Order: sequence, then structure tokens, then C-alpha cells
Amino acid sequence: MAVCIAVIAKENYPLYIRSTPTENELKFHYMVHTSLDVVDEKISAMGKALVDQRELYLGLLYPTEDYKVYGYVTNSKVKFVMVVDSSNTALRDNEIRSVSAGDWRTTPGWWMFRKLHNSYTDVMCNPFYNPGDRIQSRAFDNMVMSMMIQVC
Amino acid sequence: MAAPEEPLPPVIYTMENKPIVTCAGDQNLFTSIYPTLSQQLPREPMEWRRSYGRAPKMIHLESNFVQFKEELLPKEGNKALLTFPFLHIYWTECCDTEVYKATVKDDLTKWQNVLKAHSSVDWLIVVVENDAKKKNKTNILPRTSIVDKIRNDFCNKQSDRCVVLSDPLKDSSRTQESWNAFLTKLRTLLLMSFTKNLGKFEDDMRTLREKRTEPGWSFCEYFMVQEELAFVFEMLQQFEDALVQYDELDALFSQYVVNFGAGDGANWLTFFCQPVKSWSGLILRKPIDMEKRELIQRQEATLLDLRSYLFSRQCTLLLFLQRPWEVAQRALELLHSCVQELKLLEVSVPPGALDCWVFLSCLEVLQRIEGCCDRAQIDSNIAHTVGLWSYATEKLKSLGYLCGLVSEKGPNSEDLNRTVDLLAGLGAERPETANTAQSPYKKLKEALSSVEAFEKHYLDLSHATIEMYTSIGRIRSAKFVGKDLAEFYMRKKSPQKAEIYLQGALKTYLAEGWALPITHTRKQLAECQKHLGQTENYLQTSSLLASDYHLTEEQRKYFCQEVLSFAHQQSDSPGHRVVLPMHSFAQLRDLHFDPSNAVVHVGGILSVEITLCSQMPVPVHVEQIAINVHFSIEKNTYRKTAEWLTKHKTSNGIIKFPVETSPFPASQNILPALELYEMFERSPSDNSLNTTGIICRNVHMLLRRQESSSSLEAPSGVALEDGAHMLRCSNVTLEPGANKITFRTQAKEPGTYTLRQLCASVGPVRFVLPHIYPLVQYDVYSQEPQLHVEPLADSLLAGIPQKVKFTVTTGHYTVRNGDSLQLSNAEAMLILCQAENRAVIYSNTREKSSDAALRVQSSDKVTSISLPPAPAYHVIEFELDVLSLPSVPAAGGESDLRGTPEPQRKHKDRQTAGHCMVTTDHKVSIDCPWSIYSTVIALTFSVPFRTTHSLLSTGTRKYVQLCVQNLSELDFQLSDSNLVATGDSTDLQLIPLNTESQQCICSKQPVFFVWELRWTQEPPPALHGQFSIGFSPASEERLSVSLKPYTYEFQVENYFTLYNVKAEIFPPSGMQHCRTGLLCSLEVSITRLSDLLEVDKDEALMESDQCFLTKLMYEVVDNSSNWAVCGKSCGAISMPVAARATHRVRMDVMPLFAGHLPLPDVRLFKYLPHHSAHSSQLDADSWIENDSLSVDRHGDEQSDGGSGRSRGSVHSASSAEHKGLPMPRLQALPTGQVFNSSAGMQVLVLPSQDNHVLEVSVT
Amino acid sequence: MSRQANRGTESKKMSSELFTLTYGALVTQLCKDYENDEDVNKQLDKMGYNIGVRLIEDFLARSNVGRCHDFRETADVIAKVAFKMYLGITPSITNWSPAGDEFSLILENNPLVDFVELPDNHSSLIYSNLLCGVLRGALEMVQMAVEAKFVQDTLKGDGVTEIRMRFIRRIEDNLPAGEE
Repeated sequence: MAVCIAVIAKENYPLYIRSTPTENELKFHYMVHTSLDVVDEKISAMGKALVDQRELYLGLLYPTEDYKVYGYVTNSKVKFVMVVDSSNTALRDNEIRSVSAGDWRTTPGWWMFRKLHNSYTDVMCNPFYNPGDRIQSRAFDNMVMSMMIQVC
Repeated sequence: MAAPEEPLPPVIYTMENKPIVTCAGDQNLFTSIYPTLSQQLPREPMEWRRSYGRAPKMIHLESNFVQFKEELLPKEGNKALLTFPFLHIYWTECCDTEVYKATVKDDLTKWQNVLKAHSSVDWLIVVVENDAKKKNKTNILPRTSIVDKIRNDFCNKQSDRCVVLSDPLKDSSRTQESWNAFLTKLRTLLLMSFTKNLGKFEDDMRTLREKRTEPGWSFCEYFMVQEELAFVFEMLQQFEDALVQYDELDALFSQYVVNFGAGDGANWLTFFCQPVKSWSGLILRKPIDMEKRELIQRQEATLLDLRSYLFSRQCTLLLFLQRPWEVAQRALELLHSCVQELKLLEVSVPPGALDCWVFLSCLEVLQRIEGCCDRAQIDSNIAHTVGLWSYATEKLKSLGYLCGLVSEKGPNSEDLNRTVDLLAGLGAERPETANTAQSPYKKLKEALSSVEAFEKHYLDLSHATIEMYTSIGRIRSAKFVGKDLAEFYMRKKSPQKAEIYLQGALKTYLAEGWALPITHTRKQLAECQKHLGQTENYLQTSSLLASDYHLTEEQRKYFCQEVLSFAHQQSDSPGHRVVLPMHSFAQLRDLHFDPSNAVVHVGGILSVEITLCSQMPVPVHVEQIAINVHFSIEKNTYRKTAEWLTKHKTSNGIIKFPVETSPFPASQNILPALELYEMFERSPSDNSLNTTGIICRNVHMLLRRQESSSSLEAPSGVALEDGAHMLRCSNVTLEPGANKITFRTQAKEPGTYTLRQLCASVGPVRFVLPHIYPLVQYDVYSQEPQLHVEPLADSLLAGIPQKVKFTVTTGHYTVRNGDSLQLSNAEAMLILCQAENRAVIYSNTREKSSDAALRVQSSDKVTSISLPPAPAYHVIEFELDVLSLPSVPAAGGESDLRGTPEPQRKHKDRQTAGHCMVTTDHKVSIDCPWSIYSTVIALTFSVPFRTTHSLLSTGTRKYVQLCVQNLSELDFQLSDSNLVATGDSTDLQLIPLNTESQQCICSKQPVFFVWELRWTQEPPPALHGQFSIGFSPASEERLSVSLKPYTYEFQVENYFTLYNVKAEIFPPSGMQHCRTGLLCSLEVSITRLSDLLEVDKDEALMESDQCFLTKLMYEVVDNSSNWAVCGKSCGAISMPVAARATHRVRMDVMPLFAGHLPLPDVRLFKYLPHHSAHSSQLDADSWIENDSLSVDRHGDEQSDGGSGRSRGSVHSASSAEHKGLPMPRLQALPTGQVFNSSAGMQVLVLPSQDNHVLEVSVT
Repeated sequence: MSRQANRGTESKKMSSELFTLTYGALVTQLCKDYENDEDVNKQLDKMGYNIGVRLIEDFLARSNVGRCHDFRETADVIAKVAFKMYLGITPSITNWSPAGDEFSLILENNPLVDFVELPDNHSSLIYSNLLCGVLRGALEMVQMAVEAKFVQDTLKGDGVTEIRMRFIRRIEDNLPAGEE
């Protein structure tokens, strides 16, 4: 369902970014990068919330004509960004409302990001992975792929 | 609308909507009351309890009072709510029965019937009474009666439907009360009616919605119904509720579209699938867009119409609710989702139509919001609106591209047609915006009208957007818009404008390390720079792109080619160079010195091998690769010597360089630590300190701009320093990937060379690595030639051939054929030149390079050693045998026994060679070919032997014993020992008592030799002996050279026996054995053996009548204290100097132990009086103690076994220091002159009888 | 004494993540220190051996298992008691050789390798080789010379992790085992 999934380091460089289809990969890179603006905005806006929440689902970062960009940030300021095709409504329906209502857990987006986060944590625990490096992990790849193809 | 004939008042849809209340009965009365009523009604809020558990609300009621008409009453199934009369009031002020009966009642009845007929139950009868009327009435009925009548007649069991309003126009408390009562009633009834009717309406609506799956169901109809509800809520100022109605409709519709996309389409949707013909964006200026509404009503609305209308309503309500930012946000969503829905429904849309629609809508929304907010609000909420701005910009751009307004040659006919069609689709401008200058409609029309106009509008929009993004800190977004702008400029062939935007964007991407955007932007930048003719930047960008792995092979090749073709084209100005940073072209991986410790002597060859990893996709031929070297004189000589080399061997001498991953913002997470070093610049001429300071070696890593490598995009600050010192390597072809390049250089000036820059030149292009880091240095040193001569063993032995090692460190001197060392021989040291002497030549690093025969020629004066030719900075080593002859100084070493120390004696040698070998030094001065001065070296040889002699006597026979002590570690063969008497002793014979001529002397062992002295007549007073013995190392089977024997000279004086001393002990008389504790007598007899001799001629000699006397002193000492000497143990005697003259002394001694006791020994001295006139008799004790002191001295001197020459002096010195006044002096007789015949005799002593304990002293 | 005190059959709780990460850190550090994987494998085995020769004491102290009479019994103790006690898993025992001197421990999940993904440049690294060393060392202390080696590894893409154990001989004279 997702067309692009990215993990972005605290310093805002991409640790991992994978998109499908690959031909407009570039577009997604631009899109994700631009979405960081909103991520920063939201983080600074709810800086307080960050303290008590362990991780933060930022909900819809911004919509474009064809895509919706969702964001999620861990307490270690690692960001997950997911681009979803607008025609895919699984994530879209009432996203805004439920987010504004503040119950993240209900949104499908939150669950996907949770999965992503866990998988990322496993990557971090791999002794052969040096934090800060770009992620090259089969397990992570597979998980991301599953998220991209799965139609939820 | 279901009110056929009556044209409904147009006001109905303005916001002045109020719930309708009809008024029947006395119109005049009503009009009189109306003002008060309409003003009083809304004053008090009333709580409205809602159905479906909705929260109760306080609302202010207003009403629109209209005259009662039957037509107003809705027919069955009428869905119109706004026209629905919620309450019917009958007004009357009739107060007398007659009138009531006559007219009012009928009228009421009729009214009631009509209501009944329409089953409307929301009615009220108001009876107004005023006293004025009553006054002039004579037959007054109580007011109540009329009201009661009415109640009876009409409101059965709901008496509250009839109220009284008394004196409404008066101003009295009573009036007030009745008003309040009335109003409350009125409100209550109104609300009841709302609740009832709305509830009913909602029920109907729901049922209608439930039917939506049925075939005939039409969304539009339903839309109208629910909107009706929305209207009512709006009318009641319940905007929230109103909004909910629209949101529900919105959701419902969206859901349908989604489902349609999913496959199950409701046939009514097909209405909305009709092709889009009009795209005149949203209209938000009117509360209600009637045209669209009617379209919907007539079920002719397109999807856009519906959406537009729906949104316009939501917008209106949101604005009522003071939520303009939500409008903006929803607008964006709406626009997006519309586009999606059209796609989903596969509605055919002429190209550009949607863009127009979106563009117009965006501006409309923005203007609408601006219309109702002040500047400050807007500025503080840019975050909400900016999305619309950029969306509009985007759309305008695509319109521009679509209509050929961006190409610099302007639109072609087909573009124009398209433009016309698009404009047609806009229709005519709306009246409400017709007179606003900047209306979206006008903007769009104008923008599309001409290239210039478009540019203006597009730029305005873009700049505005960028500005807003920047102002709220959405830099990335701003840059992104900027890139679009750049593209636009590129299209418009004005790259100079585009560049700044591209640079800006690139900076951000580089700073955050986004590879793909970097690559893409670089590509654009490259094009831009090409157009601008910024050769350098273009080449730089190209090289970066050529090395960019995110590009396809072809693209990389293309850019690489760009660089190369520039490089190869003949540049008009030959001096012109283009300096580019290296890292994009090739990366320095590692560097390796040979020799690996990176220290080389002057003139030596140093090779530096670097690994360059070429980033280019194709092999590149490089005319020259040069390493720029900085030279600094450093007179740290030690570091530059050959020893240093051999000590400091770096493991492999490979320096690795960190691989820089260019699009990775390393600078952000890990800043390197300062690397500070102290720096001394010395002047080349005289190594004096010019400057000193602290330098930071990695400053280039610390002090670079935050957007690290982005500085490379700008004209790079790479300075190409060309110093005198360069390592060059020409005509290299760099294959893609790793290349090894070797620089060879011959070291010239001594000093430290620091590798600064790496520069590869391709034609006029220079790829420069501005800082080679970590610091790489090599050192060049120069060394003076040196000669070392040292013994192989730790000490050289005199007398036998010894090996000496010569080491020539050539340093900067090259040993040529014929160069030789000239050794000026020391007379006592030979240099033995065997046939084969080989010299070994080592390289600087101690590797053996060659060896050669060594020619040594000795003349009497000099020995010349011709060195084998050797290059500079090599080491020549060879060994020579030297032989130190046991010459005079060597033998003279013995004379120290005579107490005269040798000049050459080295005391430290004494200590080191533990067993104090006597040493002798030989100084040899050597002339080296490289210097005019001759080197003097000293070799120290140690004599392996020490010899002592002693004189032995029996009676008058004499013997000389020589003890040869081998002090060395070696064993020797001793041969043909020989002792000759030198001097005038003619008739002195030396008879050797040593048998074998050959004998071995082991290390540290002594060997003894004895000779007997014989003579015929009176012997000479002194014997000068010279002992000589041949020796050779026991190990050596045969020696090339004949060795000189070892000699030892000594002399013995006064060895002729003059006196015989004999001691005897006699047991006490009557006993034949001595017993302990019993006195025995000791008899000492001193016998003169010869007549007057030369030796007697001294001051002790006195001439008496016919004979000579000499004074002697005897002394009995028993060191073993076996005996107690009783009485005087010593005494002076006058001895006649004549043969066989004897003197006897008796004294008592007592044995203290039993056993065979040695006799106490008797000593004899010469007693020399002082020759001052007054010779005074000294009391014995004084001089006894005196000479007892001298005796002691004499005692140990005797043990020394030396000759008596120095006695007198020693003694006199002692006595002189002993007493001021002159004293007689004692002088021990030389050992040779006294023979103690009873030495070694023992006497048996028995223990005394009465002793129970037997004490035995065993000696 | 105090050490004896906490020697109970009860196992002390600890974070498995910490355990896994600690082991991971160990292995990766070795990979940094030695250039080729074979050396790392050797080191791991060596360390394991040194752990084993100590651990056996603790094991015998805690689990009061008597001496085993045959290799099969040993296998059971290893799988059911030792692995349970120290790794919290119970590998299954399979593939007995006909002579009964070889068997395989099948680990469905190996706690050492949670999260671990072998990079391509460490294809020949035997990540969990420490275990082999431990087994070898521990058994040597009870007079059993065995050979232990990984024949399957989930890290290498195998379905399960399999340690092959082979009995070599009984060590008659119990010479003090010097640490390798």
C-alpha cells in the first residue's frame, strides 16, 4: 500500500529509503525530504508531548494531489516517513480526525509505523550494524517490502 | 420547491431566515403588538432539549411573523423546512360574549379546521385585554369568561394553548408579568414545534438515506433534503449542526466514489461522470451559490459543481464558526480529492481544465480568507495557507507549460487553441467578483493571455510562496519551489537567474546528504553552468557527476567526456589553468614510502607509491601527477643518522587515508579533534630560528563551511601552490578504480619534506587535493664519513695477535678505487697482514651489498689499507690482526713494585679488569681519504701475566723464585723460561731447577720457576735478574708470526746471609720436657757468618780496638701467643763484625698450652744511633714502644718480600713524625741477610700433672 | 561462601537483549581485531573453552546431576539441563550415529543470534562458535574429550542451528587442564 518508506536519521540524512515503483524514485526522495519540514514543525510544536510519549505518530504530514505523506518520530529523533498513494483510502479515511482526536492507536498508520519501528530496533541491535550507517538489512528490506505490497 | 403558485420571496435564502410563525385573527391588534413582540422574543435565551441524545443548547429565538394563509401550510410529504410554519397564533382582544359568539368563534373554528386539515398542532390563541376597552363597556363580563369560553370551545385538555396578554402597550408590572408569561409560552411552544417537526424530518431523512441502495435513489434529492435540515440549523444559528449535515453529505458522497472505484457503482453516480465542461473554480463569496444548487436540484450538477457547492457551504459555516484556517486546510484536501475522484470516476477532463479549476479555487479560498481576517492573523497562520499558494503556483506552472507560455519562442497555434478552450471553460466572470481587480478569474485570464503576463504572475506566485515557506522555516519546501522556478528560468533561457536557486537547493541536499536529489540538482546545475559559460564550475560539476554512482554509465561517461574534451581542446591562453578539487576525480587511498621509514640520505633514492582510486567511468590519461612538497630545514641530526634508520623501522610504512563518502554529512555528527603541533621554521643559511608557533594540522577539516562539500559547487577555493619541490610522475593512465602510481626522487638537500598537495593535470585542467591529510613527511639527511676502530674482544691482550674491527661509515663520501687508510705505525704495535683480508660492504640499512678483498701494505713507518670502492652511505667493515709487542713499557709495568707508578697505567682499567691486568695503550693515527686531519685512535692492550719474584735462602745458599700468574681468560703454552743476570755479576751462576721447557699455564693459574744462585768469591751486593719466557695461546696450533717472549726484570739486593739466628728452649732443670705453666729458658744465639762486608758500611758500624762492632737489636715475639715471654723480650747488642762471632741471650718463657709448640720467633734489627753529639740514654720503654711501632711496620714490610732499599727512609719518616727529638733508629735487616735456623722447630710441652683438664693447642 | 549462597537451581533473571548485545559486541570486536574469520572462530572457541572449564564447576554445583554412564546420558544432561539453565532453551537431540558416539543438538532458536545479520564479508564466520568451545571445555573437565562444531546455522540461511557433537575418547589421567 505504501509506495515509499524512509527512515531518516536525527541529522536528517536518509538511513533508508525504498520506493516502488522505482522509476519515480527521485520524486519520492524529494517528497520525503520536503516532508521533513513538516516533521520538524510538528516536533517543535509538540515538543512537550515528546517528553512523555515514547514515540510520536505525527499523522498526515501533508497531502499532495497523488500522495499522502505520513510521519512518525522516535524519541531518539529518528524519523519514519511513509508515502501512500492517495487513491488508496485505507489510511486516508478519517486520519485527520482521529489524529486531532488524539487517539493514534486507532489509525492504521500508527500500526504500520509501530511495525516499522520494531523492525528498525532489531536492525539497531544487530551487532554488525554501526548506528548512523545506511541500513542494509534483509530482514528490514523484507518487512518494508511486505508493507509496500500488502493492501490493508 | 413544492410551493407552486406563490413565488417564494427571494429573501428566504438570505441569512435573515427566521422560523415562520403565522398570525390569524385581529391583524390590527397584531401589528400594534408586533414591534414589542419581535423585539422581546429573542431577548431571553431558551434551552432546547434535543432528540437523539444531542446536547441541549441555549438558543435565542426569532421569528418571522407572517399573516396566516392556508397555502402556507405544507402539503403531505413536503420536504421544505424553511417555508414550514412552526407555529400558528390567533390574536383577539374580544371581550364581550356577544361579539365572541357572533364573529370570533366562527373565525377561530375556521382557523382551527384549516389547521386540523393540515394536521398541524402547533397553534396558540392569544387574548389581549386592555382596561381601556373595558371602561366604556357597560355590561362587563369578567374577562376570564371569554378566555374560559375559548378554552372550552377549542383547547380541550390543552388549556395552555390559550394565553392572556393584558395591557401589552402599558408599562406596568402587571403588563410585564403577562408579557413574560406570554413570551415564555411562545418560546416553549416554538421549541416544542422545532423538536417535533425537525425530529420528524430527520426520521424521514434517515429512512430516505436507508433507501440509498434502491435503484431509483438519487443522491441529489437526498442532498436537498439534508441540506434543508442544515438550513434550519443555520437559521437557528446552530452552525455546528449545519456543518455536520454537510460533512455527512460529503462523507457519503466520497464513500460512493470510493466504492465506485472499488467496482460497485451506484447508477446515480453516472450523472457525475459526465465530462467536465466548466471549470470556473469555487465561489465562496455568496453564502449560497444558487446556480449550482439548482444544478444539483435538477440533477445536472457535475462532480465539480457538487463539490464546489458543498465546499462553499462548508466554507460559509466554518467562517461563521470563526475557523478560517480549517477552511484553508479543507480546501486543499478538497482540491486533492476532487482530482482523485475525477480520476477514479474516469471523468473525461480536457487537459488543463483541472489546473484552471484548482488554480482558481486556491486563489478564491485564499481571497475569501483574507477577506475575513486581518493581516496579522494571516501572517501568523501562513502554515495553513501556504499549501494553497504552492498548489496554485504548481498549477499555474503546468498551465504555462501546457499553453506554451514557457518556451522562449512563445505559444504556437495549437497552444493558442488550447488556451482559448481553457478560457472558454471558465465562462464569464461572476458578477460578484466582476469589479474586484485581482479576482482569480482575472488573474488566470491575464496569466494565460501572454508570455510576459504569465511570467509576471508565475514569478509573483512563486516568490510569494517561497517567501512564505521561508518565513515559517520550511526551508526544504522553499528550495523545492525554488527548483521549479529554476527550471522555469532555464526554459526561459535565463540561467543566471536559475543558478542561485539550484545552488540553494543543492546546498540543502548536500547538507543533509540526500544522494538522489543531489545528483539530479547537480545535473540541472551543470546544464545551467554550461549555459552561463562558467567553465570552471561546469567542469567541476561535471567531474562530480562523472564520479556519481547514482547516474547511469552513459550519463557518467557523458560528463566525464565533457571534462576530457575541454581538457584536450587547445586552450587559446596557454597559461590558463582550471583548478578542480581532486576528490571527485580520484581519491587518494594510501601512500607507501620506500624506504619504509621515509628517511633517506642525500642523493639517495626515495620512492613514494600512492594508490589513487579513480572515480571516472573511463580510463583517463593524465599528463602529469605531481605531489607538492614543502621543504623545511630541520637540523635534527640524530634523526638523520644511519643508526636512527636501523632503530626506527616503521612496520610497513603505509599511510592510509580516510575514504570520504562525499554525500554523507560527516561534518555534522563527528567533528575531528584539534591536532596541534609546535612548529619551528629555521633559516636555511644558518640554522637560526626564524619563526615558531603552534600549527593545527587538520584545520582544513575544522574550518570548512557547515554545508561541507557544497563549497565545492561554488568556485572552489582550491589554491594551487607551486613550490620548488615537486614529486612528478608523467603520462599516467588512470583506470577506473584503484591505480598505483610510484614517484621516485633523488634526495637533495637535507631536511624535512612535507607532502602538501596532490595535483593531477589533464591538459589545462588541474585536479588538486589541497591538503594531504594525515600529515605525510619524509626526511633527507646527510652524514659525515666516519671511521670506528674497536677490538672484537672486550679487551686486547698484549703479546699475541688480536683482532680489531674497522668500520668505515662512508656517509656522503664515495669511496673510490685507490682510497686507503694510512696508519702511522706505533713502534710497539704491529699490524699483521695475512694473505686474505676481506672487507664487507653494507648498505645503509645494514643489508650486505658486497664484499671485497682488502689490500694491506705495511712499510716500516706506515701501513696503508686500500679500501674497496663503496658508494656513499654505505658501511665498510673489515678486521685486522694487531700485535702489541711486550716492549719496555709493558715490562716496565712490573716496576710498580718499586713504587713508581707508570704514566700509561689506566686506573679505570685496573678496576674493570678485576684481576688488575697491567695495560698499555697504543696510539695510532689514521689518515682517512675524506679528511685532511688524521684520526687518532688508542688501543689498549693488557698484559696477560703478572710476575712476582722472591728470594729464598737456606743457610747461605740462595734461590730465586719467580711466580708467573696468568690473569687472562686464555690458556697459554710457556716455553724456554730463562733467567739471566744482567749487570757486572760475572761469577754469579744461575742454575735453573725447572725441568721441562714446555708447560701450560691455564687461565687464572700461577706457574713457579726457581733458580739457585751460586758464586765463587764474594758475591756482588745486588742481583739484576731478567726473566723471560716465551708464550703462545694454547689453542692456536701455529702462529704466522713469531711472538716475542714475555720478560720480567727485577733486582735483589743484600741477599748474602750475615747472621744466623738460633733459638732453643730448655725444659726446667731436672725435667726432660717442658710443662705448661712452668718456666723454661729460651736461649737465642746470634752468629755472625762473615767478616766485614760492603753492606756493613753504615752508621751502625763502630770501630773499636782491632775490630769492628755493629749494633743489633733482637726481639722475641710470639704472635701465636703460645708462650708468655717473661721479663725483657728484646734488647740491643753490640755484635763484632767478624766471622763466627756469636752472641747468646737467655730469657724465661712459659708455655701456655701443651703440645708441640712452635718456638716464638726472634727478629733481628740493625740499631742505628742518631749521630747528634749528646746521645742521651733513653729509657727503654719509650723507645721500646717506639720501635715496637717500627717493628710492626717492619713486620708487614717483610711480608711484602721486597728489597730493603726504602726501609730507612720509611722508618725515619715515621720516627720523625713520631718524636721531635732525634732518636736511635731501627732498621730491619734484609731477609737475605738473616737466616733463622730454628724457624719451624717445635718443642714438646706436656700438660702439668695437677691439671685435670688437658689443654692441647694444635698448631 | 556468598557465591555458594546464590548457587541454587533457581536461575537468575537477566535481560536477554543485554546478553545478546554483549555477545554481539564481543564477536564484532574480534572481527575488528583479527582480519580473517578463521582466526575469529578460533578465538571464540578458545574463549568458550575457558568459559567451559569454569562453568562446569558452577553447573555441577547448581544442578546436582550425578556422573553420566554413557554419552547418551551426557547428551540429555547437556540439552535438558545445561542449555536450559544457561541459555533458557532446550535443544533437541537427533542424528545419533550408529556407534552412539555422535549426535546433533538442534537449536530452534539460538538466543545468541537474535537481531544478528551476517554481513557478506563475514560469510565464513561461525558466529556462535563460543558454544562449541564451552561444550568442549566443560566436558573435558569431566574426562570427556569431544569435538563440537556447527553443521547448520540459521545465520547462514539454514532452517535450524545444529551443533554436531562427537565423542573422541575418555581422558583417563585427569591432568590439570591448562587454559589454552
